Amino acid sequence: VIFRPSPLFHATTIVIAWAVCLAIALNRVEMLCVALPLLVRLMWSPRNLVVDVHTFDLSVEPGTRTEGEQLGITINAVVEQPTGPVEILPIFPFLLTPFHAMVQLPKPDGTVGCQFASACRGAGILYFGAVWFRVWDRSGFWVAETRKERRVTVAVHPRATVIRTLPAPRQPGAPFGLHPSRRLGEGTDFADIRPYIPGDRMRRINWAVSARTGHLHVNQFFAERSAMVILLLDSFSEVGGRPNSSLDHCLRAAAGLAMAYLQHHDRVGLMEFGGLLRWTKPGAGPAQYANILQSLARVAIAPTFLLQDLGALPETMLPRHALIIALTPLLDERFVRTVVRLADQGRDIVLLALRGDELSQAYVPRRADEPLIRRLWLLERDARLRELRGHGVRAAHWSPAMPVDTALQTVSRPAARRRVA
Amino acid sequence: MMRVVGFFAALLIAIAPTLALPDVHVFEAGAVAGLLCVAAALVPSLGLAVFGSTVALLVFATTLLLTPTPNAVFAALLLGLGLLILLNATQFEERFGRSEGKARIVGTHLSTLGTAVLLSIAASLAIAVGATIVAQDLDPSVRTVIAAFGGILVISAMMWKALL
Repeated sequence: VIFRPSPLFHATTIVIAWAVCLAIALNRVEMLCVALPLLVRLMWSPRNLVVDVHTFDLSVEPGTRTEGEQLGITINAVVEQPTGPVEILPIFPFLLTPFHAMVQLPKPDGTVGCQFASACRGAGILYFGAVWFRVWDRSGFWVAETRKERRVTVAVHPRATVIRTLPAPRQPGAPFGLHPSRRLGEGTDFADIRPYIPGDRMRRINWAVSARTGHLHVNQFFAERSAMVILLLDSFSEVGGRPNSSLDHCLRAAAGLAMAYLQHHDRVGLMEFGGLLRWTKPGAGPAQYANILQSLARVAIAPTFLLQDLGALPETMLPRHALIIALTPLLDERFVRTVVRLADQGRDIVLLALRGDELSQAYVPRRADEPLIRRLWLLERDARLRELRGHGVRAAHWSPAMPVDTALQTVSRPAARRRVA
Repeated sequence: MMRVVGFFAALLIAIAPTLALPDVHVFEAGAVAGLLCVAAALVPSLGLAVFGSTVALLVFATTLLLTPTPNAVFAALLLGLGLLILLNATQFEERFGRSEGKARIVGTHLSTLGTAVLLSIAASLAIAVGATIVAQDLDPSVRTVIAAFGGILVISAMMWKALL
């Protein structure tokens, strides 16, 4: 890498030129005396013709990270023929907190190195690559720059939102879960009272009814089953800027929902529906949660004009009895049409429509921030939600300023449960 | 630290014209140039420093035009040193002001700058004294030609340094 004149060189040259011109124009040798210190400094600056940076290494602390956690990054290199300070200017992903460049004097053997600790502001895959090295000579008149690359990837998982209200599935599946089904069995939700049959458990006897009727009666309960839940993420478009965009809110909510359902022994799968169609097969347990977090970290907005068809997916990917929870800013018509189509197939769908208007306040021009425009937009949105409800979708508004539970409480039950005769 | 050094340089720049010609108006003009240089050191902005330096040069040249004084060479040397320190300090703050690890290189930079200042003083005195002795018996027109030749030589040297 060849040294080039720095801005200081140009500034000094301009001042010297002014002094020399004034000396000649005014015929005053004193003006040359003004330029002399600058000239001596300029001529005295040693110009190294070549400098090189080699043995470059960029390493990141191993392991996955969650939003808000610190990430340690280490950069080491050896500068050949160093003469002055070396600036290290890494190009880090924008999802990390901003940091300042590092400047230091190389050691006698030319080694330079630094450690950065940066917080992960949002979820996603962080790609580390280029680092610029700016080598100065001692005078500051000469500078050389070189770019070194080393590909390093780090997955940052979304921070799971705490969710206490879980939408109950219309058709719970396998036993050993916590969701009450319509069938009678072992559970905690009261269903009915019937006369005692030999073999019934003593603790099920309803003593009040038995005393009133004169015959033994027992309580009946709804059986509790596990559910299969598919989290459907809209990745067609997003509102707001990361790490506070609609996609970020959806990722956090999806992580929270996955955690809550998996803690209830349910099977949870993930489907990213947008420019790319990616899915994680439904599963249960902590390993499945790790899989889902890994998949959520990979979710990205991919603009496309193609129309994907979720209805054409195999049954194993989108089981018919699964509860589908769609998380969307409700901006793309293709996503809405797909949800309607799935609902028309008789699937159990919960849709949380994130209010993008609250996220876009900082980005829209003042003219578009008129209350009337906002009201019209909300009316259109309400109309769309009504249309979705008409197709049997449990749809609710979700304000990013409010907990997700607030929205989930309105859609937690599929329908009024029928009493068992 | 470098801002303090820049402030000191601006002070030198401000008082240099007054040293050449003690006068209220000269002092006011020097103060204006000094304020520009202080602003350049505080912002920091190398462009503003160049502008302030140019204003200071014009003020000093005007002062020399008014009345030649025996202190002019000394004042010119002070002005030159002030400009050298100001440009260095401003560039340092502009480049490394927000960088981590700046404190560790300030000492090295100041020592290099101090050495350069001492060398400049020695070289300037030698050249100024030599030039005064040589120019004593020269015709004014020849002096102008020699000064022009020297100027061209200086510019050529800088071009050679920058481009080759």
